[in-house]
Amino acid sequence: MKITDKLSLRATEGSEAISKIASSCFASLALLAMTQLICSNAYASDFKLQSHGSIKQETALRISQPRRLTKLRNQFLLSESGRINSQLNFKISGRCYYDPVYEATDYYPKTVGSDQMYEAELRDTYLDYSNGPFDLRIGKQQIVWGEAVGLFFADVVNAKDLREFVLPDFDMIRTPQWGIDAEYSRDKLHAEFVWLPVLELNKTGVSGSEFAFPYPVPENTTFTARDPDKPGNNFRNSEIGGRLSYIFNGLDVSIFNFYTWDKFPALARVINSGIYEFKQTIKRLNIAGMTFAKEINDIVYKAEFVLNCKQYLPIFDTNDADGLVRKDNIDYLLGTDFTVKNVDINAQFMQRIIPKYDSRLVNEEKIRNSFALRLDKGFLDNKFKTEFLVIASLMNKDLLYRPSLTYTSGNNWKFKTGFDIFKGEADGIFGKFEKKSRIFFESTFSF
Amino acid sequence: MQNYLNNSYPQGRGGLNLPYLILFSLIALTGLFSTAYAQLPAAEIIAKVDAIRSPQEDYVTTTEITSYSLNRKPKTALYQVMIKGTDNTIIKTLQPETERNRILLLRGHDLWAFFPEVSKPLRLSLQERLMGEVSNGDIARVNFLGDYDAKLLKEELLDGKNCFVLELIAKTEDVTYAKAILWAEVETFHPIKAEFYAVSGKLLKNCFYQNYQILAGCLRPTELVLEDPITKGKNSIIRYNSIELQELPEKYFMKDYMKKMME
Repeated sequence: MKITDKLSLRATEGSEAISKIASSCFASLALLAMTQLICSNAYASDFKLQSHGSIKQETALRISQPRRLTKLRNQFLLSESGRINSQLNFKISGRCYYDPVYEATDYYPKTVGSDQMYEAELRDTYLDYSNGPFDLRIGKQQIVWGEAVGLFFADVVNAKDLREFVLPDFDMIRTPQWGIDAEYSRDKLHAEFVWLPVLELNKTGVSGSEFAFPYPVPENTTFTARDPDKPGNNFRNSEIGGRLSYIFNGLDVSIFNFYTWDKFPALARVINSGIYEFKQTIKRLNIAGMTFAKEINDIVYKAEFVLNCKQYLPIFDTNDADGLVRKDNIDYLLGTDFTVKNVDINAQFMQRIIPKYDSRLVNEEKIRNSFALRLDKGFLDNKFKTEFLVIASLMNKDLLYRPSLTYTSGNNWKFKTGFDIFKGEADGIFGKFEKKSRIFFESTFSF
Repeated sequence: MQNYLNNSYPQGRGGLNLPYLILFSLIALTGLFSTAYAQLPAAEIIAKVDAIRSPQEDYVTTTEITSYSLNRKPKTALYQVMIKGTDNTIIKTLQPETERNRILLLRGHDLWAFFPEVSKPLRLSLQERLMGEVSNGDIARVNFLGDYDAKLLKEELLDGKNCFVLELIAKTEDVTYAKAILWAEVETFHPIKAEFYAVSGKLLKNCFYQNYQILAGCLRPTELVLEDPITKGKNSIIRYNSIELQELPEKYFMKDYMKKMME
């Protein structure tokens, strides 16, 4: 499948402008409220403020042909957190990065440089209120559900930054979203209610970037793509969800439901004179699920079930009006964690089922089986840590494997090196990046 | 020798037998001396030792662990430890900075770890090492009475102090060590030394309770020296810098609350 992008039409319609204004207002109000609370309590006896952060250098070299330096990112992360009084805590954090690869080389189109060369963003920034069994977190935050390791399965709340696929740390892949997370905890019960009034979409690499997602078009087809029109940030368009957890005799059970938007825009397309014209449209999506975890004799067993209700999926059918069909699909996972001779082992089996399968679906099968295996071992008081992760399809050749070695020096320095190896067919989840396999080096100074 | 015994102290002979009398007197005296403690069940001794090792109410302590090995620079880590009752513990890494905000939660014998980069609680076993010779359970479990069945073996002198010697057998497989031998001072119930064993009977580590100071209103050991019995010079010291008594909400010790413990 060859990708020939023509242009990306930026929609600047009224609804988006309103969304941005609403989003900015919400953010400003939240920040203002936090600042006021912090200032008014700054002289209170139990006010505490802590600053932490990191400076990180990330280098990646593509080892597939043509070999290239693909990343030279320098990142600064700063976090201020503190306690205002016994009931109020806050956190403000942000990061900025600069990657000179996009200036020093001409491998990538300018649009990629504009998208990935530098960025400054507010990360987790919130106010925590606690009163007895009730907790409230208001602000920009990551809400993490699920039990699986190294996979997003039930981790459905936050939008994801996938411009570097799933290779960065998960706390950096998740896009913190403005919202409210209300929790109630008593004995073995935990109830959570989530409201996100400001929509964030998954970020994917623009065409020509290292990890751009291909469009569903036949080989050598010309296409155009138009950015999505984001729904306005109003109450009606907000995302809402809830999760209920209970521990029955050591069995940790959660059920959840999240009424959201599909954060991967549906690719509605029309064909005009042989040219595919894609319009990314944001569709409502309801996600329901259950998770389980139980430890028996030092072995942890876990399971996750996620049902995406009537999700819009792309099809290969030139006769279809918009190239989309609505299908329920189920993702589930069965996993186990255990330790053998100081090696931490995590093994997971995953299956995706589309009950009313349509053979026209793009890169989908009625049942798709895959597995993930992760091995961790520390040496010399955990100064050195080796990690091996493989995620692979059980149906065809399609895998990602990531061996790495981490060295920690003293109180502040951490060095990591490893490989991100992709194998498989061009239409595979991992195979499509087979020519993007890389070796990487990271140096982090934490303070 | 046999003849000498037979000739001098023939059995079945009446009258005063001086050596038997001395032996009987010694036994009687020893019995009288230890009468006060003979009534004390091993479990009660262990309960008193537990009360000295740590407060029996909710508290927060800052704990420093320094790990020593021959030909290597000592490695130090700092933790904030929150303990509620005998079964709930949170260990939050404050230093090194590279591991800041890693959080361990122990509920009963269930141990979970929260790593900021993963943002999810992951399951660990109590036997896994936190650092150096220190297992997670060495910090997280401060409850000998709840974890072990105790048996008073004997009394003996250790470092010039008369000590109870107790054998502790793990009640369940989840406990950090299968067996421990504990020396606690008879007068004060201060723990002096412990040996910790694996299921196989192998000695895993020696522990010395040192540097007694007043913390939270009681004279307590502020240093635990954990020695590797095989490799000389390989040891770790756990230092309790402070203990602050405060009521801790139940919700702090829930898996879903771990994310809120991050700074």
